Amino acid sequence: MSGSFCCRALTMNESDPMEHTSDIPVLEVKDLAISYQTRKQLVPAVRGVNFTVRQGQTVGVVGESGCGKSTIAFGILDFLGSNGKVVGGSIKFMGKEMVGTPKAELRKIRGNNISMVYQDPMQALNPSLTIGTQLTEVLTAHTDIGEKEAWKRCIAMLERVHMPDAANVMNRYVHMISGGQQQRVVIAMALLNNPSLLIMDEPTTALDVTVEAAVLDLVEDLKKDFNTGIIFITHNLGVVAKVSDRLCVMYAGEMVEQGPIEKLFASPAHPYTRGLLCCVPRLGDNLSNNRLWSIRGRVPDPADRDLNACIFAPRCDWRIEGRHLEDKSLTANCTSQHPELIAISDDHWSRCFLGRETLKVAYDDYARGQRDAVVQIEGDDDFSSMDTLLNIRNMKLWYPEQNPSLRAILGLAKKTHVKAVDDISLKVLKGTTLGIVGESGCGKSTLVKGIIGLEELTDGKVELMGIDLNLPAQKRDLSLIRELQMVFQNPDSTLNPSYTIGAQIGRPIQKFKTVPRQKVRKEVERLLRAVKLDAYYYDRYPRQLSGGEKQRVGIARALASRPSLVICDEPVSALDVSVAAAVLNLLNEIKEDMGSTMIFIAHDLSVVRFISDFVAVMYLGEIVEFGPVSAIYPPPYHPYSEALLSSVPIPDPTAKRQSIILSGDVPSPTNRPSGCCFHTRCPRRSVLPDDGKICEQEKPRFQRLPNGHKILCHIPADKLTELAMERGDKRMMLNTG
Amino acid sequence: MPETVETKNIAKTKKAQLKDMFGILLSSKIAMVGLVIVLFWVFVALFAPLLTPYTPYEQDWKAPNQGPSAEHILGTDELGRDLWTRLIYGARVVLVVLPVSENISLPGGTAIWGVVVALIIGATLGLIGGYKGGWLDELVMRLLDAMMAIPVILLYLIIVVAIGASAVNVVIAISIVGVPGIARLVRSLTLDIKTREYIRAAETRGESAWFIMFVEILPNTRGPIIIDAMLRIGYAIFAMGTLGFLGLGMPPPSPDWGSMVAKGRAFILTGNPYAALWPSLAIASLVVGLNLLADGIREESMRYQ
Repeated sequence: MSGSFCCRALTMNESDPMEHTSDIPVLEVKDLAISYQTRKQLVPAVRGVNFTVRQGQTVGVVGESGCGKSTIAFGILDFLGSNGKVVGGSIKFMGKEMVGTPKAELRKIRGNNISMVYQDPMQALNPSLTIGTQLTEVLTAHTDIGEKEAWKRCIAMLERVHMPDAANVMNRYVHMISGGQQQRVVIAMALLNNPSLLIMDEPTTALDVTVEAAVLDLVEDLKKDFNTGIIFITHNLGVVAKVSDRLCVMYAGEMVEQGPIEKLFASPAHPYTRGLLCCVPRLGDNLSNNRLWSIRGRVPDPADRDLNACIFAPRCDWRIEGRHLEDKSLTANCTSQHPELIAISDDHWSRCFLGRETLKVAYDDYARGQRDAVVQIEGDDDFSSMDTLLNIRNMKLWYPEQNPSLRAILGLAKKTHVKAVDDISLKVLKGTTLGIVGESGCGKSTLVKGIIGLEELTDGKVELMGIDLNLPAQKRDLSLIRELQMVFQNPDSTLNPSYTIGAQIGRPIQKFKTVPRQKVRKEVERLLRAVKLDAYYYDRYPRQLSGGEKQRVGIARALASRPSLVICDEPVSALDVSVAAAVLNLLNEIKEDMGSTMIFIAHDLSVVRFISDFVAVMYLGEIVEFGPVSAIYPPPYHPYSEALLSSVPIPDPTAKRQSIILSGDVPSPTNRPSGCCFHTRCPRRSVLPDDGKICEQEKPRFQRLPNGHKILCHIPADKLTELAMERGDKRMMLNTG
Repeated sequence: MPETVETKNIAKTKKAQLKDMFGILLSSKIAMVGLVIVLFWVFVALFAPLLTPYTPYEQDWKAPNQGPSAEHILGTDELGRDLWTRLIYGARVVLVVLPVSENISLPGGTAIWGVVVALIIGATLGLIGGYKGGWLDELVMRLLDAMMAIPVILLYLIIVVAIGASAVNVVIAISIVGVPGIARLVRSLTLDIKTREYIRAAETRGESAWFIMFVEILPNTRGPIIIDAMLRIGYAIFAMGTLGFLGLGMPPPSPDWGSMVAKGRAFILTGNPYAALWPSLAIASLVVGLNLLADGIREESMRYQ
């Protein structure tokens, strides 16, 4: 019990409600500075932070990892740990100064009125108590609300956060509900005693796009209903554009820009903000762009930041190249003085000596390059004119499910399987990139494991250049192994921490004897250059590298055996936007220079669009839509693809789109729905006669459309197009190059 | 030009690495105390012949059972042998020299050899169990569990009685007793490490299981293993003391701390506790020193991560 208490102590009881006076801001932060004590010195983590949160207002805080976003939240909550402390500035909560107030008193003030929602709902909820117990505890622990009354109130609150079947959910345990629902429970818990301030620290980062869209809608609704001040911390510009009223941009522990969301997105003044906005691949971008803007260098470590200069100066293009500046003398102070926040307009500030000067250049089209030739597809359904490199036919990959019952042990029960990949047929053409998209659990990673030989196929066939691949990797012929290599997702675990970079890239070269032994080092250095790293990285260890650099080494290692097919499993999803942009650019370059064929797995549709020639959309172990990029992104869509596309948050606060919220959860792959596997959640079923009865009964066949576009749906393609147009998603029609 | 920048960079990082490691030691007072105690014993054991005019077997019939004096700084035992000499020669057997037979002795003491052998066997079994999994894992782990079910002292007794008392046999006993613990530790580390993506990368490269276990996984377990090994050397010294005390350690007259305590025990009540006191203190201080060192390093390396 006590374990669940400590995280909730914040949201306890209503016994001492603060006076709600509308003209006093909920939170006023001025010149906040926070430092951490380390073994060597006091390291400043955050400084120069100013912002105000009013009732019913959402203030977004964005920045890359390591920029001090969470530190601000912990500073407000006084959760800095034993080695962190506020070293300057003030935090005023409802007009009352918090810095310097004794801890016990602080806890009282904040505990009643500030709630926090964390990134991972699994860690915020206690797995050994029912959801009802955990929720009612918030109300009953410190007030005299009775058990029954509390129970009722909790159900009402769950209903307000749009929890389906709220009364029954109260009796369930945490593992029995899905991630999106867990996050709803956490939000409900945070709102139970009507806090004046709600701090949300990356509340949607761990969720799938469709779930994220639903949670963001919820946050938007709650703001109106509860009149709560919200601090919304995230790294995702699309998410912040959707929910925030004001935006604070953090860089290396400093607030570099602040303003109303529309102004900030329409005319960002600080070079860092501009860089960030340019880094993100967007659904609306012209397809012929294949260079994303990326910011040079990396965020400096807190210990080696120059406090007497502009913190962004080492990475700033305006200072280094000054390419858009008429008067170059403006950047003279950048490395010798620390800039203050300069007013851009009456409520928009930027921490840059250039001030309004940067606004003279439109930000959104600078530095994006042109894509060379996209693979041209002309009216040919089977692409028979092109070489097929990889041919997957009716691939099935089932995992036997552990059944602990006695019947199963005796072999009497029917064996059940988790059908991770069920009957997939795909072709990858030589020199093209196939993007595979889908939410978590759709089987995209399993598909790849089957191809690469980490899992044995249950049924079906995979052929690489006509050679059967149906053998586990360790039994395959070396010459076959070297043709298939992989880039992994997590930069922190993709490299072995015990060996130098050179040794790790060199290993496949030695193993596959790509070059003679004495030339291995030269070859490694060539590969390092190919991924834009200097030769001295040869002797470095992985822990001396940043996330983006590690990912580059991962790519170099995959390329070392000169494979004909490179499989990238979400290579950028764990990276910060500016770093991800550089890695994506690199992959595109490699594709062009070396003519490699790639399979690119991602959950982010805008990233897939940016890098792929063909896209396959997966749902529950099946491919529901397949086609060249130019055919996938404009209508007609498969209803699932449409929901996915509409949920992608767009970094543009003026684009108010209605995202399609999918009801229910992804069904378990053990017990797949009959007929069309998407029918349980399909929002478009009702257009079919008899409310889509056919979807339940009959498995749909692929509708073949021009350009090799295939949709697995009973609804005719023309109708699907019509529906998409009705929804008013015209943006997709534009700019598809 | 770029060459010099490059080498400079490397030199800098290597230096920084060493500095970091030393920094961990220096910043932990506990680890420093432990290190000083351990280094003291290693030093006296290494230079034992230079630190005393006697040999450990030299008997002085005129002065049995004496307290500390100018001639015998820690006193003498019942046969008039110098206790200081026996003590530091005893440390030699524990930490510096392993007498295999009368003419051959290996560098590295009995306790250290015991732990190293246990490490090699235990790590191999743990790696195989953890990485391969399945029935092989079940088999190995259940066998080791069975061994762990037997009380440690009893296990030592059984082994030494079965194979006889000698320095080499003590090493064998220490290693056999140490294997299950090390295997469990390495297995749990392996289970974690084998889920990392660099292992996936090695598998997709078609590396053999042995390569993955010993080249990819093993080096990454070294941190916890080093700390565990330090503690284990402490336990081994303790075990050697116990065996010696029970008369199952080094055969007499070799200077064995355990047997020194056993011999001296008889004279505690007759007014001469020194023969039992010094070796007891020696065992205690060395074990405590190793524990402090291991704890200090562990704590300090976990903080500020």
